[in-house]
Amino acid sequence: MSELMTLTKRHIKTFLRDKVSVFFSFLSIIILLAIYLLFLGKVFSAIPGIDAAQQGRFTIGYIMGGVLVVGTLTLSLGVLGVYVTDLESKKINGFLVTPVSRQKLTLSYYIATVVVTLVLTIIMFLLASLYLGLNSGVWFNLMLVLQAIAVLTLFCFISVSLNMVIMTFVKSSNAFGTVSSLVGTLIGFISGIYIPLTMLDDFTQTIASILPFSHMTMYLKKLLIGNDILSKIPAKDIEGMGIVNLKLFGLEINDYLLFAIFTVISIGILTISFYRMNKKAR
Amino acid sequence: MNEIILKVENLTKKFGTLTAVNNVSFEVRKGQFFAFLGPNGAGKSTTIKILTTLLQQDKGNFYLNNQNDDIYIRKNIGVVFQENVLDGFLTVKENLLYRGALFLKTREEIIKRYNELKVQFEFESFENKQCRFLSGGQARRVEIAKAFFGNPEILFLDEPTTGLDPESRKMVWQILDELRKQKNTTIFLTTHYMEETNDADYVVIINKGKIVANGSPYELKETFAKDVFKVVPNNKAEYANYLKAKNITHKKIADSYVVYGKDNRECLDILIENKENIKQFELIKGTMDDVFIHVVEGGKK
Repeated sequence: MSELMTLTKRHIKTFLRDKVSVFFSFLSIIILLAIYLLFLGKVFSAIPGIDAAQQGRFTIGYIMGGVLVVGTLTLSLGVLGVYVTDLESKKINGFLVTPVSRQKLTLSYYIATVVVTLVLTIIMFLLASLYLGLNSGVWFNLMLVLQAIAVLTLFCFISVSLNMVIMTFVKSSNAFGTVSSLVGTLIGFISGIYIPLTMLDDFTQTIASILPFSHMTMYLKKLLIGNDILSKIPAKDIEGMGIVNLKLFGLEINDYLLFAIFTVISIGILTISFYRMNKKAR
Repeated sequence: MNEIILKVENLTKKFGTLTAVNNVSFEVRKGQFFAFLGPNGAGKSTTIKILTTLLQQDKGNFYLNNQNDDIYIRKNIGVVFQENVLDGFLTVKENLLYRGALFLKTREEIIKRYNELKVQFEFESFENKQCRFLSGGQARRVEIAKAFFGNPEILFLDEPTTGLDPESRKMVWQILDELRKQKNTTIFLTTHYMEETNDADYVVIINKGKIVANGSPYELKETFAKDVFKVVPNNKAEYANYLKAKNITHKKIADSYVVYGKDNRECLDILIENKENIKQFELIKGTMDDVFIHVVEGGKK
């Protein structure tokens, strides 16, 4: 059993056995689902141009686009809480006095976070797909499922990298709780996950356009709803629901290029995080 | 004389303008029970952090078996921290197996070592219990077993019995005594309980970052803590006059007199000369507490 795998397993078990932490990692997702089901469900029941089955897919696609992106953010923050707790309770010293290298230790926290976030996000996506299929008879085809999983993998990487750098500035569980709540709520609003982007003022929309999460949400919503359905709905209604073509600094950029840019930025940020985390230890 | 296992030379560590460890040098010999004492903020924890590779010193160096490579040191030390560093949500078994995997290569080796420790530290009955449900004494036992997984040559114990009830403290010391007898493990201890250092082979006392006293407990007590005796006389006035006439340092407490002789010979003479007037007497041995107070408080003065 390699040291890296051992440490990764330890972090994952520590997180999953702490039911309170797991619950709070899902809290934003639960609140978001509640908001959609209680308030926005009715909005989707009268979308012009599409039949009942297509409305089912639109609803699931729209909701899951936001839920899954929030999931990559809050779940990864939750797992990174293990690192903050280890740091605060000095449990990390227990690892630092063993022959395991500092780089491996840092990497183990990263891998554990990516694994848990990705697996739980994919499970959420598959459950939503199953619900859609059983409820409205609309099943996502295999290609779309694989494509969604690939996109979610990239999104997990981006979210974990950005959260990782935030965590390097946090030293206590209290600060971690505050940061988690702030990040989840703020990103949820600014990225048009809680409310449609088109309802926000121009300044906030500009901020949203430079955040990867708003692009991730938009891309995932469009992917899950499907172009065939979107093309049937009047443009005015789609825009009203916040599904728009987001620009970056006013420039129309191809999605692939955009995500390539975010990936490169994430790699850079991740490198800074690793440097900062390793620097904390001798 | 046993060979030197740990050699510390002119170790210095500063935090801003505060010199936490100031040019500290000492040696620890193989199989030795070495006690490193000092008041809060004296520099004990900083020294331990440096020696266990958690902190980088500013000046000086230290060698474990003549080597000062971090990885070599980490492979050959075990550390029991003051804080509980067990993973509360993991079982005793998981805590130990995960630790083992950081020291040993194969699954077979890890399981074999785990089974040895399970018998040695007697935690078979609660090996599947999550650590958050362990009593203070049980948790300490598991922590020592965890630190011992890699068969360390030297075990650092940073106040291992702080917060434990007397029974658990006794149990911890029984374990450590056995480790010393059976494995000849070198023990490097810091503690606030001075009586725990009575069996130490060598004691170093540090204050304000500097070594202020060192030697065996016997040597330190001889130098810094005298034996005294307490007498309850039949005739108090007669005894008080005797002490006054002979100019013997003493203190009256209720019906008794605590007498401080220059040495054991003088104490014996005082007792013999007054044997008809002594109702009761009690010899009070100098303790490591006295040594500590003398050295540290003396330093303050």
